[in-house]
Amino acid sequence: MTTSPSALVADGLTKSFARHRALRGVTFTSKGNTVGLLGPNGAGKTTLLRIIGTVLAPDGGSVRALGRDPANADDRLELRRRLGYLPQEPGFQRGFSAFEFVDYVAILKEWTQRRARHDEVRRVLALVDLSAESGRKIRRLSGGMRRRVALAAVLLGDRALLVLDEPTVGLDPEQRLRFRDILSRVGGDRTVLLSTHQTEDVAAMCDEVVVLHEGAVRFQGPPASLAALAEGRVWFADERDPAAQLSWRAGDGRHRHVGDPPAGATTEAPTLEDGYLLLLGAPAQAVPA
Amino acid sequence: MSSTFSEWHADDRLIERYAAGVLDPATAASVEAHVLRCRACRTTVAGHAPAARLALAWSAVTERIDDPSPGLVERSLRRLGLTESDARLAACAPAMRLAWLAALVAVLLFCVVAAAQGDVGPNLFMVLAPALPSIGVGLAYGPWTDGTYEVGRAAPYSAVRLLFLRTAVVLAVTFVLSGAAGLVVPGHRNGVVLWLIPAIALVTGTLALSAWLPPAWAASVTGGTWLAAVVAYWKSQGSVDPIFGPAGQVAAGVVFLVACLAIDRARRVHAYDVRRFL
Repeated sequence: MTTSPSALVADGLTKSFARHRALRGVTFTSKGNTVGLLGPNGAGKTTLLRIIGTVLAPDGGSVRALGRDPANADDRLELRRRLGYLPQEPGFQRGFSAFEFVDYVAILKEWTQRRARHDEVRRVLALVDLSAESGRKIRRLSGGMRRRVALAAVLLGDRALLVLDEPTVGLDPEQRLRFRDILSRVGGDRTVLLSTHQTEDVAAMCDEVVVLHEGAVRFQGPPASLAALAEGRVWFADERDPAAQLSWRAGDGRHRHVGDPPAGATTEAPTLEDGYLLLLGAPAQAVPA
Repeated sequence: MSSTFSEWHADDRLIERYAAGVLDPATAASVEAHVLRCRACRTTVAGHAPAARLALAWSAVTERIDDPSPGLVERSLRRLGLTESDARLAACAPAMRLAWLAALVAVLLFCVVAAAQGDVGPNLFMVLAPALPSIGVGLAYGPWTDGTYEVGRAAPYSAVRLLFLRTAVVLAVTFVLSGAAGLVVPGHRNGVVLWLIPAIALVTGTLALSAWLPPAWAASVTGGTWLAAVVAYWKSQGSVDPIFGPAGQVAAGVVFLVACLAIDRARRVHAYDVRRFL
């Protein structure tokens, strides 16, 4: 399973819901293996992932995933056969056990031969460390376990593209760590596109990041390049500096500032979050990596 | 080999032949009786057990444990000839849930009881019965009624096939229950059949609209339009009987044909498969 050099290409994607313009001409070409989609609430992340996941049609523009154009019926079907999609709020059939739910999704993914399907369900449940819980009703599982059940359904079959909408939302730090571990195990040469609010997730898992803001791409490049936007623009001070673009009180009681440092300030190494915050605080314009 | 049981152990050659299943029945039974009591020999047997045979046995055990037990609806559908996977997908329709079925029975019972107590009942049944199947179809599949709808949209299984599969199941159940109620509604001659063509017209209308609207919306449009029109007629004329006369049946037939053409057209342009909104 080798994905193409440009596994994801979006060209001028637009999408509106009534008067709300969710996407305003999203354009990017991604060659990354694990691509993080960052952006605040309402940035258009979920809409973009739904379009790439073939769940929703755009109003304008085009998208190609794994070299397939979802607007074409044959391409769409072929893409769906190679796609694993995790919605932001995965729903579950009432009364299903973890095994039954993943089995149900496996049927939707064309696993019609029962024995082979059940073997595959057991395989993916083992991948997410849920073999022991496979017979438990989903309503009796914790939120983190439910998330893993949904992830198991995404991993069914040999999926070349995984589209994950906020997969770590609602997970505690240990569960997030476990999720990262699972993703690193199953990643391989798959293309993974995941949206998140967590810059730590992107820093830990992604080799490419796309920042969406108000329905448009504001940045695309390696995470290090996003962090580098704040190079020489992060400093600490005992008091809040009103001239700073952003500032917050750190754990040691000092104030971390992002912006244009005053003369003589000692700057710190920026994090991905610094770069991201600085980017979103800046006037709206695309920033090259 | 020692003379006391606790110290005797089957030799490797014997164990190997036992594990391979080539011993004669009497010797095999004797070795088995010993192995069940002797931890050391059990360990030796484990070492000789053919991996492929063990894997097969283990797979059969896990398969038996994991195999989801089908519910009543799913079992019935399989008896009717649906494949195991189609029966599972159809039986998971929200409209097959006990709550919907209970509500359906309650509405029909209310119609029957109301009919027994006055003039309103027969008309009430004839107003409601045609709309019930399309409401069931609206609940069978869609973003607000099916928790796995979004996952299903991204899967290769055909959305239109799933919608029509569930529609067939909903229709079968609703027609049987409504038909049974129609048999016992007093005061309405032919009440058991006259609502059928309008009901089929409303369902096909709902399916046609479902190409562009979520099925629940589509059912609201068709069911709402039907109820508003028929209740208005009832209020003005004092009876709904003329609606179910020959002219009404022909009109319902025309709606059915137009809806069928619209469904065919929508299917050809993949309208069921490409969603503009969720």
